[in-house]
Amino acid sequence: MSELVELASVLGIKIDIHTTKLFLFDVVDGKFHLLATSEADTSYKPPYNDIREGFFKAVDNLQQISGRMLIDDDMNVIVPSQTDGSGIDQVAFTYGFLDQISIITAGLLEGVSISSLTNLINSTHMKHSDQISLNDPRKIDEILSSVINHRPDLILLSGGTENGANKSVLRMMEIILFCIKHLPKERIPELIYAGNSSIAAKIQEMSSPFAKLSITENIRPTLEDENLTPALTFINELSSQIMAKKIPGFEYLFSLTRSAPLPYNQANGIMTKFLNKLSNENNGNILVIDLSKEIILMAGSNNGSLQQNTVENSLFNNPERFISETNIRDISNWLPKNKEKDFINDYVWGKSIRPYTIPNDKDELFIEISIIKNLIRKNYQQFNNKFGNSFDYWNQIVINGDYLSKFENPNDIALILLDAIQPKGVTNLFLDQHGILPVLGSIAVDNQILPIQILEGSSISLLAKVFSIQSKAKIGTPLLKVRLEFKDGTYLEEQIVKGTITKLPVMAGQIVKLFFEPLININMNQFGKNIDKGLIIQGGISGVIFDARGRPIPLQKNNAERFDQFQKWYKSMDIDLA
Amino acid sequence: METLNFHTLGLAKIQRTRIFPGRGDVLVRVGQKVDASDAIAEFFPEEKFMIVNVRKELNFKNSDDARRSINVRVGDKLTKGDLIAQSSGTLSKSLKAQNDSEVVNIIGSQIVLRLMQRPKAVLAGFEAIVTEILPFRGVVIETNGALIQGVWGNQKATSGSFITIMQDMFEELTPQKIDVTFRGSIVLGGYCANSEVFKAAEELNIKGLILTSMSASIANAALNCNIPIILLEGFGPIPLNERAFELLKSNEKKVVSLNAIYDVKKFEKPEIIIQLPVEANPPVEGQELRNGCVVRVNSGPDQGKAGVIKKINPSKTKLNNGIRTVCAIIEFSDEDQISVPLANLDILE
Repeated sequence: MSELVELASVLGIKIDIHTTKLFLFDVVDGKFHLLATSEADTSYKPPYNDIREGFFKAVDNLQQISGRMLIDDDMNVIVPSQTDGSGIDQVAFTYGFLDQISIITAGLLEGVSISSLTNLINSTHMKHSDQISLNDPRKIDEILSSVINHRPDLILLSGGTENGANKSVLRMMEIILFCIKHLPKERIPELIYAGNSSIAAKIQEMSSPFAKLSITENIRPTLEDENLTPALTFINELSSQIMAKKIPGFEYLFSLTRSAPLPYNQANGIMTKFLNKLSNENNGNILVIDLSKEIILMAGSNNGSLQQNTVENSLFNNPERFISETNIRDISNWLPKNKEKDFINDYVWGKSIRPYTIPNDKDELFIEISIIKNLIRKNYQQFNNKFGNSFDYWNQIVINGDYLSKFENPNDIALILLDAIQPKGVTNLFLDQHGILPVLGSIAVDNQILPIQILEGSSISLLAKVFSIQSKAKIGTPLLKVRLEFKDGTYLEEQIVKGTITKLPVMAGQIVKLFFEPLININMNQFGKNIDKGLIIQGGISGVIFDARGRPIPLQKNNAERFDQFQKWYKSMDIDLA
Repeated sequence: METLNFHTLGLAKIQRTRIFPGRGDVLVRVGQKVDASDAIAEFFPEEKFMIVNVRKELNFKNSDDARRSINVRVGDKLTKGDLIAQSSGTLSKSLKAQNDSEVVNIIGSQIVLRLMQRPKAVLAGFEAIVTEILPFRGVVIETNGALIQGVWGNQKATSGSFITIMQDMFEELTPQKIDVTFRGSIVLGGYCANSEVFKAAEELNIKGLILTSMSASIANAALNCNIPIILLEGFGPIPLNERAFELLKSNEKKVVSLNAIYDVKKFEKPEIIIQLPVEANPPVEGQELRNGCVVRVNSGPDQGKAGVIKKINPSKTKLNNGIRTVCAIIEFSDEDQISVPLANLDILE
């Protein structure tokens, strides 16, 4: 409890190239609460070229909203909090700024140090420019060309288990030194060694005439064990120092924090693993989707493991790639109404120029939704391909609703998720309304109580409980009868038909008992075990949903029939098409 | 919410810094006058190296002999066929450069060569004076004149005298309207939906096209077209905003620079610059929406229309499609007023 008092008021900073968002937490009635959030454009671009401008704008807004003074007359953040209620006790900082730091890694073997290096870099926002390995098929001149052309900020060498290989590691170091000798002095990267510690002194001796080398713990001490945390902590610190040189104002925000700032994916990863741990279900897994203007992040966790894919959001940052990756047919296939191909094409290209625009009418809104579904779907496929995942069973899916906040109807968001991810089995869909997860992850480094208490509140709300039914029955076949029993003794019965989506009217937070009665031969295990006596479930903002459309969702080829499909699905989801 | 600023100014000081990545050379000097399509620097986007192992290639038994046979020094520039090393004796063998290259290092009996690549030019983009050299990094150029920023371009640049064939802001540019008298000029057309326009423009040696808007179906043809093309409004049939129309019309027959080379990641935009012999102040950058601000509607039925913000509503407005967002009341020149989401406005000042 002493920690709680010491870090009573906490300011979370979430900043990327587009948006600066602040979260103010404090203890009320012995528990942490989110008091206020505020937002401003990040002042990374000209004419400001300094992220402090946007930060202070967001602070101004936060002061107005919360009525609490956070900065003094000299524009210094007041730390710690004062007796007059001003100031804060802890500042935590998570950031986007993808690919600002270029890193080249060097290791020995695939499946050992190389895979550990890949896992390590996956937890950062660094641009993984090249990987040099013992079995590298390239000639030394090709490796030299690559190092020169990529101009890395960092080169990270690993390899050799503890007291394992050393000659090969030394050989890799020779290659690295040979390459960097050909770089201009001002471009010589910092070197990090995270390999066999028995030769660390030798590695240091070899590099000292040419480059600054730092040594951290071996990331692969044995063939079986991976030890990324010390190297990651070290890299976070080093990254922050490099970012401070590259991004004016970063150093100021860095100076406010107790621990090194974390990139979104690392902070998000902490919370993804934590949420997975919190889940009561055995072998439960979770998919977290963070859809921000700068980054699209997918993180999956199952029994403590973590898979993450972090990519630039091409819609806001790379118009050429957005256009080349967007198939107009994919967009038009998910439209509930007929729209001329030229109109859709013009809209998509227009979006590449001005991604911030808001749809003016329903037609544009549906194209917009279709673009978002397409973006999530493509990134989800990329995530699955990266990790060789072939399942779509997620017990929990959490989406950052920051970017989706323009959709007033939560059913729109639920349907976007169901159409894009197409989960199988039983899934709880959650909405992280403020995009708070990475902020909680960054706070958790110094204050583990706050994230737990905030998660008990309403920052992340249940959007819907979804039963996605697998059945080979023909479209139109009644599959199930479900009976919802409410606490007051009333009940509701609904028939679930193949090819439909059904939203049951269970209010957010309402607890009901659900009974299933199969109408055909159907695998009832897909709804969980011991369901004979009914399943106690909680309703989300969008109630309880039975998705019996099938997987993958079969869309009719004929336009009229497909529009009819959508009419029915949208109607069932209480989404107005007119 | 980020608002895009598209300068549409009759007179401004225009200063641009052209930076190149990697190794390169500046080709101009301070005070030099440059044209839009002049190369002001050249750089090597990618470098290639080759390591020649003299001992191995000439079958020397030891490195010292191999080293003694080397005929080049660090810094030497070699052309293909130049002698690199030669063994002595009656059965002397020689090693010659396989490519044009530069000797960057000699380590023992190994020679590191940087292969000569074709450099890439950095174009000025508009008629200007060089005001600063950033050694090994880039050049600062400057001019005074009218500045009209577009929304899209096909990554080419030129300059030339400018003519308009637009009678009104809603006009469509068709292949039939491309006339032989436009040869050597930069032409302001309207909306374009036919890629034959680009072919006709190339055939008649038109120097560049300024289009109001374009069908996205011909965007790839525009990218492949050899002459610079700039879009002022966007994709789809959008009329030209009145402010840009009047500004361009008033500058007809003058020499304009059409710079469709831009990098979104560096927050650049395609630009039309009309040099004027008057000193001016730089435009205000990073403006935010406020009452009295000159704006353009960038989507919806009024797309392309310019107006003035009369009021920004403090609370969110619910649009017909159910979206709730902050809107502003815009007044057009005909005194019509409409409510538009702030996200759907560009600043034109």
